[in-house]
Amino acid sequence: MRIWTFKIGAILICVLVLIAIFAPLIAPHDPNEYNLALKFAGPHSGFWFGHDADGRDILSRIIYGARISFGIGVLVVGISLLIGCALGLIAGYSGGWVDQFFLFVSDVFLAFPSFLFALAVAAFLEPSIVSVIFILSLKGWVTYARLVRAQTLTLKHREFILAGKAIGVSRWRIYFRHLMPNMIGPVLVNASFGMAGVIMIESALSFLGVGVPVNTPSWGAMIDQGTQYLLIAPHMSIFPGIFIMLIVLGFNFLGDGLRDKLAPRGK
Amino acid sequence: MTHYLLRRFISIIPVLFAVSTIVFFIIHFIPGDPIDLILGERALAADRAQLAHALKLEEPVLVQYGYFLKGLISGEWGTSIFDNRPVLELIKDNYGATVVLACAAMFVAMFIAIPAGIIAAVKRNSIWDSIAMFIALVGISVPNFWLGPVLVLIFSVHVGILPISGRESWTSLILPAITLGTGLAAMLARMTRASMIEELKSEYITVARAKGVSERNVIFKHAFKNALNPIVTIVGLQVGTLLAGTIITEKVFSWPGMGTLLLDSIRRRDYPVVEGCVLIISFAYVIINTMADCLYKAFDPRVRL
Repeated sequence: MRIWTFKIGAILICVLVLIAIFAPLIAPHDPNEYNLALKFAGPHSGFWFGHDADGRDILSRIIYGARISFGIGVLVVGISLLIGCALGLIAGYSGGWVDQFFLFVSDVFLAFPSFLFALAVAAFLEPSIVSVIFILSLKGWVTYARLVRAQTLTLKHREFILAGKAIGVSRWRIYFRHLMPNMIGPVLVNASFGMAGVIMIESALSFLGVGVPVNTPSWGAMIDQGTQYLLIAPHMSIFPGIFIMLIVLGFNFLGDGLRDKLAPRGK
Repeated sequence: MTHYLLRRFISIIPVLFAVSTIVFFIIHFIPGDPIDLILGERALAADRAQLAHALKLEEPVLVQYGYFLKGLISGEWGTSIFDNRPVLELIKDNYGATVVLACAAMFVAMFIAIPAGIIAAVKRNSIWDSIAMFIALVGISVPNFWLGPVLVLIFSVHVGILPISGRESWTSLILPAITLGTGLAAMLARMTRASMIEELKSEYITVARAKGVSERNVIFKHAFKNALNPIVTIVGLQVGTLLAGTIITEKVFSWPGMGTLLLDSIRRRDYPVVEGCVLIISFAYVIINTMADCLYKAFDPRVRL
């Protein structure tokens, strides 16, 4: 099971990344081309996933939607990793009041359920891609910071770190040349699950109308529009949902496989 | 024990205070004039002044924060801008439905997850284990805002045995509970499997088998009983997440709970109600998580309090 979960995850993600990168070449139609004569039309020749309430091609919108999901996912996880790793390293390595203060702040952020926190902030901002990235990064760093802090606590008393300190290696060099490479495995596993979580929350925010702007081809927003016409055009919500599931499944498989590869004792 | 519980609960007071502070400042420091957002840019000056006075917006932010904290402690959480009712009264009217939905979802999750997790652990590395864990991973990956409409399409529209939405009878609860419980079931199944595998590897299980105890008793009376402790903790820790997760499910099924109240208030720009809903759900999340943590420590004799 373990080998194939990693492989399936990697294949799924690679395919979806390629779809996102080459969207203009792959998409059969313009995702914003209106054709009211074909509104609500189901799958037919040349339009495999049918049309939405404005007659736009659902397949092309799904293909362009992959760019939104991946783009937001990569940026949010990247920003969160950057902030989280830096804070976790500083807190874990410094100890004392710095660590205590960090623990309190992160406890406060962890006291909010992620989705509620995102929704509470999104409710007061204009829907935009930048807002979504800001909202999701605002709390996203905490998990990585706690993980890196915990790893730093176990590593900082090891001989190679003590030796580095003894020969006068600078603090930042210890952080990024000695500590960070030794915790990259668990951080990568978390980042993979993190991508799945970010994509799911972004879609949920767009589904509720507080995520990306209206008319942006987002999978969550497409499901929202689809549920309004569920009885007459179920294809409008079914296809985008399958793609959200595939991308989240891909990252979950990848994370699961990576965890087992990097931690053989867990087998 | 009592001393530990007391200390643990006192320790959440600063967290609750900080949570309230963050909620207050999120609402007050986000760009845009709240009066414009609530009344629109073309509102009359008199209406603007009246609303600014009602929301105490002409006061400095720190004074507003003082009023906010005072109201929070005294139980005066403000009044809804939309229907002029006290925020706490609105929350009281809606909270029950959310708790019912969360409990039903938890029941669905445990009903599916525990047998699946036990089978996967007992038949470890078999085809059953692979199937159960594959389904669990798929379950975690299915967005509930998609699963809900798909279930409606199948069971309400095509088969016609369950209501589409609302809260008229107990049958209205089935689809929302399955929608909300699926993700949790998937996670719980993985947790049950991992916990059971750990127990089944223990020496007391080998001893029980050597003594000739039947496999059924080894699994249920010995291993499962001990594996239950981390499972109960996870269930407890997930109750808070479930409360937040009801927001989407309630929207999909028009379930009249806290999620619907929160989303309606966001749409109407009814800030006092949004603030109240976010605070209540966050408070519940913190308190339930602390209780689950204490329960775990209380149940496990190896953990010294």
